[in-house]
Amino acid sequence: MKKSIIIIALSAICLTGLNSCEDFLTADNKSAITAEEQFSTQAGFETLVNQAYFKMRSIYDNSAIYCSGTDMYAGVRSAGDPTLEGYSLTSENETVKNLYTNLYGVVNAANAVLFYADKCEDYSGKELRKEEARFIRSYAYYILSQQFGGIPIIKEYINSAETYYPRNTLVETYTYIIDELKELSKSSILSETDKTGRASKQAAKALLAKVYLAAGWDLETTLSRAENGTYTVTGKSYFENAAQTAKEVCDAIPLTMSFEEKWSPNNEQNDEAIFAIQWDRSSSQDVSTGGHSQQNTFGTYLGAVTMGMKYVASDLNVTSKTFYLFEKGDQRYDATFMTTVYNFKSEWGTEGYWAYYNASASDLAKMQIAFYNPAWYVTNDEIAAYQTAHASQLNSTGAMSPAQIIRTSEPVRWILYKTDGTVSSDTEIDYRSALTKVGTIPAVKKFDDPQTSKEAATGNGCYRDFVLLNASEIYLIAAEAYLMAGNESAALGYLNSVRNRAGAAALTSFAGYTRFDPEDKVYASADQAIDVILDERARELVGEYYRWMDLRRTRQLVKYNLRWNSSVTSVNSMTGGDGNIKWYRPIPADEIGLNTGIDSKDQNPGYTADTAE
Amino acid sequence: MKINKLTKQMTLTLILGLVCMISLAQEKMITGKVSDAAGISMIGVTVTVQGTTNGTITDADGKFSIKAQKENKLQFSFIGFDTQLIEVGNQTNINVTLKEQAMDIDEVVVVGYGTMKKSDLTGSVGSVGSEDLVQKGTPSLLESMQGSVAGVSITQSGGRNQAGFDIQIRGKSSINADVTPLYVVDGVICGDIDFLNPQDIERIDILKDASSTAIYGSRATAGVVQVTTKSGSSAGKKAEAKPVVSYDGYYGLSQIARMPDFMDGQEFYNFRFLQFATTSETTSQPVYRMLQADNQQSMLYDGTSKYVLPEALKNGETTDWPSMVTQNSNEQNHYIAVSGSSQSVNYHFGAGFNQNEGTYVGDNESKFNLKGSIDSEINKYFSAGMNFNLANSVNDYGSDEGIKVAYRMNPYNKPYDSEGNLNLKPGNFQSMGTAANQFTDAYNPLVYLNDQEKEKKSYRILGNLYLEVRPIKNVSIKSTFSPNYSHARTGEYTGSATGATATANYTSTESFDWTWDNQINYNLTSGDHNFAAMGLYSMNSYNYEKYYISVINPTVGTLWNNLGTGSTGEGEKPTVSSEYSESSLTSYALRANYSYKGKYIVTATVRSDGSSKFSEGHKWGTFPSAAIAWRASEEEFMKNEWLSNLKLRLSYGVTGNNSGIGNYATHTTGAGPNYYAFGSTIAPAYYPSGIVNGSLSWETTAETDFGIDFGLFANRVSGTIDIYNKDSKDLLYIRSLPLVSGGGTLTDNIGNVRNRGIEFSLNTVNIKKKNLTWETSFSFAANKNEVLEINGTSDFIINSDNPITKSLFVGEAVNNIYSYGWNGIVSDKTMTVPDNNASAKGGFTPGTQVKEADYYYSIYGWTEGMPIIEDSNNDGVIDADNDKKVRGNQDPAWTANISSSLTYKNWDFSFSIYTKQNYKVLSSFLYEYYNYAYRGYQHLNMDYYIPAGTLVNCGGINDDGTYINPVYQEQTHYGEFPFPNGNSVTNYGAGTLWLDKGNSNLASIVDASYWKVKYIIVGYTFPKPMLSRIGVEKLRVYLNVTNPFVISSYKGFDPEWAGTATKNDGPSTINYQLGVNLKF
Repeated sequence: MKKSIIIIALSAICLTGLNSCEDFLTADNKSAITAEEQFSTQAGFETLVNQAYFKMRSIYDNSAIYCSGTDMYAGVRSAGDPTLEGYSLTSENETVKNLYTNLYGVVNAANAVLFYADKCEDYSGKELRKEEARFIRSYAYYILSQQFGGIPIIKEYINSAETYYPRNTLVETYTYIIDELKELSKSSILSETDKTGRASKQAAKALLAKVYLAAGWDLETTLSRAENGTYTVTGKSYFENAAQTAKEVCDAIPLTMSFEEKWSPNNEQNDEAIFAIQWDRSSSQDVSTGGHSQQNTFGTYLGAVTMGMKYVASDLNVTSKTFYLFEKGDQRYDATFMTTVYNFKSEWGTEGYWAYYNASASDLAKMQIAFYNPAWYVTNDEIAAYQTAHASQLNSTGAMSPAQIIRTSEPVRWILYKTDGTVSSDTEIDYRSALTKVGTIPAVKKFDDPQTSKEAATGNGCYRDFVLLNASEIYLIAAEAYLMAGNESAALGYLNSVRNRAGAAALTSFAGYTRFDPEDKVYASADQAIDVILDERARELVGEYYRWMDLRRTRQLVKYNLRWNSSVTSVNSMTGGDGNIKWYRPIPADEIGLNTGIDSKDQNPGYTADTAE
Repeated sequence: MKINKLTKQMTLTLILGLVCMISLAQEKMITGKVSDAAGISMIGVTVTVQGTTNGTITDADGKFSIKAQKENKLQFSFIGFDTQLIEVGNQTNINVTLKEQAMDIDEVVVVGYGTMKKSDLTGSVGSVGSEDLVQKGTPSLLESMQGSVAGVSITQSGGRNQAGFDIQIRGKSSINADVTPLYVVDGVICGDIDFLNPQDIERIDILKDASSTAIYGSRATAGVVQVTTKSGSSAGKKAEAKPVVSYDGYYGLSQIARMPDFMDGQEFYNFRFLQFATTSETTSQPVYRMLQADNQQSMLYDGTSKYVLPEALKNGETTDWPSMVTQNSNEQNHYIAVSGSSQSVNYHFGAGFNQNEGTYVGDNESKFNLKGSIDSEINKYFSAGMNFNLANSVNDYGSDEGIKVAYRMNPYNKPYDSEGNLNLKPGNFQSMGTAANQFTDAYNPLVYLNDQEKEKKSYRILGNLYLEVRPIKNVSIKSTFSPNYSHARTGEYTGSATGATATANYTSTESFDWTWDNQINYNLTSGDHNFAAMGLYSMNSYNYEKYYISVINPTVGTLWNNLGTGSTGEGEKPTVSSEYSESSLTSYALRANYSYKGKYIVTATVRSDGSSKFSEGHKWGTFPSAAIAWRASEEEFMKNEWLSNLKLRLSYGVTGNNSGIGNYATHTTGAGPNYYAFGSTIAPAYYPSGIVNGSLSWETTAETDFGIDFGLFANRVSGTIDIYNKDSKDLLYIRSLPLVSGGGTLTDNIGNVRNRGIEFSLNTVNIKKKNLTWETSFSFAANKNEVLEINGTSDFIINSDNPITKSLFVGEAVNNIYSYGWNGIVSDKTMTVPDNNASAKGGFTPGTQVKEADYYYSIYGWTEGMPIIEDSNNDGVIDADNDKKVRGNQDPAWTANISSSLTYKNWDFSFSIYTKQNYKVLSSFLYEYYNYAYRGYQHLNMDYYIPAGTLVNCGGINDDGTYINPVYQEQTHYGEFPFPNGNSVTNYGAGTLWLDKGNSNLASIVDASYWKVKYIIVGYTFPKPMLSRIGVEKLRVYLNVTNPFVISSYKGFDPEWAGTATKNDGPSTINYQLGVNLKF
């Protein structure tokens, strides 16, 4: 009897276990709710839209991809990325892979907004957010098309194991982006302009102008000779559309503020910033690493942060070619480069590099000078006059002593002072070796964030907005579009608007344009009219991430690198194993491995393994 | 205890005396001697008259005398020997030879949910006994198992003392990195066994083949490690056993050994000079010269008069940085236990303490263990018992940053200034006394050591409680509840000495799981038939919680203990997080064993598991197995003198696995937040956590095993041979989606992997004489791992994060090495132009003689001194698609272990040698210390190429560019490493594929095969007579030297952990331990 009771009791226990089995095997996730639940409310859905904007930051994780391998920037010590600069890059390149992945990360984040919008409760702003997401997606596709050519156009959120995503043709790619942006620029819900960082009709239009222009070059011109940058124009419709669209943007934004004011740290979200990726100290989870490092990228190393200097990585130095493009009277030299750096004793922020922003004018007039970098055209007499005027400031004894005056010329004139303010040495060194010296080449100051904390100074401590669509750039887009459409006078008009604001003399014709050639020490005219536009873009847009794409678009990539990039010695340097020039970035090897829609035959020219036999 | 014993002996003598006095007249006095098989007199053998309390103990000469009657039987018993009964009859002198218990055959092996006689086993099980474990003298249980069982590969995963061990049984059957064997401690399944003290272990049984492991079904794919801790019944079930107290302990010194060959002052000087030599020539053999500015930077010109570097070299002012952060350290281990039994209760209590300092200053670990076990037979129907293990460990960690930086410091960096104060930045211009030229802005490692604290405290409680009911004959029902709790707290503090904001953080994790097993056992023996069956219903539930907080600037000196005084910092979001997750498993299992005459044995099992990790409809998996064995040696026709045992086994089984996926792998949740801003409005951003695959289910492995167990010459020679084939399919694999997904990944059941191998072990008693015993055991295992299928559509997957070590290819091993090839250095020697497309591309005529430099330069752009990258398809282009190949395997082709022990009189001597052969690693260490891009860092001493004519030294450069006392390389030096120089275009001479993390990493892919002498032990056991006088049963002292010799071509720290991440890396040590084993 006793036994039976025990058996029954034990069996009962086992059976209780059995009955609750299915419940028992359901894991409760207490620390999260499902994505569908979270994004089905207005509040939740808005955070998903924020993520699409947030993702855009990753497009600019690496500056070398936009700058290396051009005429304007050169690496010296750690050379931004030698494989990009010397065009030895392969489909294995991490930088390229990250760019590709990040751009598609933006596409997928935007597609996620559109996907969850259908599952989200209705509310008045929902349609607007969908259009914003489409703008973000178009921006990513624009950069993709400029870096990789025709790419897979994906309009649906990827949330399955699907692996087949073939490349679209270049025409399909452009047609798709143009159709999207045309619709958005005529939207009835997007606001006309927006300065808080959201997409607007103006932003859609500005981007559309750029896409039209790029489509014009890619689809309506043919390359004649890469080494000479010569080409033939075969059609004008895209250029005309580009010109018309750019004109509409420019008409709405006159260039009224000075160039210095435009880039002043206190003047963010100004009228010329059509669309910008937003950064804000208060939104950062960690002030020392949550920002970006655009301010640390261009120029030579200035000295350690502990010496009150701005950290400059010195892997993207500005080339002498770029400096020689600035003429006397052009305010952009002083507004672009930090030409006077003060000495540092102990106060972070109000001494040293940051004194320029944070110290009073009267203090600055008394402060010891660490570096002064006059432009190439400043004469020896003018330098002598400067010495006299600032005699009491050239006696540096602080962290960055002795005081130095360094003229950014070829060769560089380099004056070192003693602590009593008298000259210790006055020599000339060639520009390229000057790049290896501390503080010889002034840093780009357009992106400076004077509130950079000392702790964050070497890392991601900059919280300036990242301007992606900038009014004066669209003026130059208009100029280029009109030029290509055959309307030289309209082209000159837009070019001169930009020059006038900077205080540079107006041009009367493209043919009449000359620039100083430091090699031959003479003024020489440009080879082609497009050179004039590219020179102006160089002056106006130093440090903005357009140059590589500009040179590729205008078919000048090979010519400009041959002439001004010392890492490119012959066309062979830019030619792949298949005998083709590397006009685009390679589709990453990983994508070819993972995406069943793309195989090695679809690789961009210059990166395919097959020889051209 | 001594007094106690004396009292007892006196009492016994007294009683015996009384017995004698009242004894009857027909009793006679019997004398004799007891000896063992070798003829040695045995002391302390209990001699009793059977059925009476009359008894005695043999003296120091093995002699006894006892009164007995003619019809009595004398019983001779001694632990570890077979008891003998001898009829008295007419004898008055009885000499007895006791036989040692034949352990091998009747050894009881712990299998899942039960035990089994070794002779009845049908599967492949390897066992390690407590003595084997203890004698290695290691604080870690896993380390003490190293080399003990063929086919079980155990490897230390790093050079720091908390680095842990990786264990792999019969190759890698899953693609996931972290699939570990199932650890079962006294029936409780737990995640690791690091918390146990080796001295507390009774035995370890490793279930290797699927028929053995299938009883654990879904959790057993990687094998099962059954740990049995010491308990009251482990000394053998006896009605009454006096309490035995034992103490085992050692004290040791550990000495840093085999430091890698870093550059000394002169070597670093030479290297650094070359790293600033530049060229602007675009030829195949550029001549390297130096610019003044570079010379000043390289030799640290002080800005006014002198070069600091050559001066320091001349004056011998260099520093051995690694020695400043490493230490020769102490270790100790103590374990004390008492066990015994009374009428119906067996008990065992133990306490252990282990402490060992690490190789790095600040590393320290101390562990306490408490252990208790009680089994009681309540009455005829009921038994109950419990078993618990408590462990507490405290780990202190030296500063990771300090250690990392210390190795990077070159010999010229100055730790102290002229007044003996620490230099904050030993390589900067201030420390070096130069105006601007410097090596590095890195902080002094010694500053980090003082400024960073990290401590981890862990608590483990593991136990079980059972009730067993035997309601009817042959049936028992057992219900066991096993809770398992662990808590860990990690505190970290980083001070502000390096100018950073002081931060402190506190992490607390807690996990609890319980298992409830309900078992029914049925046993029936009828004549020659023996049948046993077991049914199981089991439930398991697991949950985990984590809490984390981090603040800045807490009160100085309070570390992480008063975080409330810190703040979250201006503009910063508070860094607080918490986490929860859970999972559950329900299982049913059946097992049946049948044997006929102990000769023919059949086993079958089936287990069905349901897991909460999978979606509805995919939760359940069923895992069957079957095995047969034939004890051929039991057959009449096989019986002969020399064959003592021969058993053939054949088994097949299926097991499963789901450990590679998270608890919520089939849920998509909202993840985040990121913070964006519109203007200055903060905008939190959330996103879907990832892409999930709802139809995920179990990965399964089917294994066939054939084994032979043999024993020859009365088991003087015994061994086991196993061959197996293990096919794993539907592997859970986190695969990358196309990059167009934005870098998404997806866990999927894809792929098929095969492991095939052979295991062999052989134990021999080479000599067995009166005073001399010599035994040797040898084990060998070879495993071939091969990916059979990846996902049905493609035959390879390149892992984007770790292309070299984590890519998969059909036909290759899972852990392969995929890379370009490195074929030496472009030299100035002549070569014969090969007939291929590459030559044609360069315009060379096949068969002609050209200079290597010209050839490689015109085709590939490599100048003299640069590495030659293999152009596998000879097309003149180095590209991933054609030139990257599988270049080796990260798992060894074979491993072997030899251990031997020699006993001479009271002395014993033993050693063990372990080897892993033919495998490659990707070494982060070599990447860091071969790297040409780091000019201020320390490097390994490399034999690099130097072209003739290179400027290799000078005493300075004049303003006009002329050199002061220039030294040129007269003849080409044909070194095996590339020519280091200052040309950034060629990546400082290394090229972009030789050592570049993003692209390729050839220089750090090396063979790491090694031979290692694991230990050498000399011990002395005090003679029994001497001990029995002081009431001690056993006393042995020993000296153990661990890891005294290593043979390997690997240039880093220790080949055993060559593949580890830099922060876990560190030098190997030689440990000297003085230990005691005491029993009374």
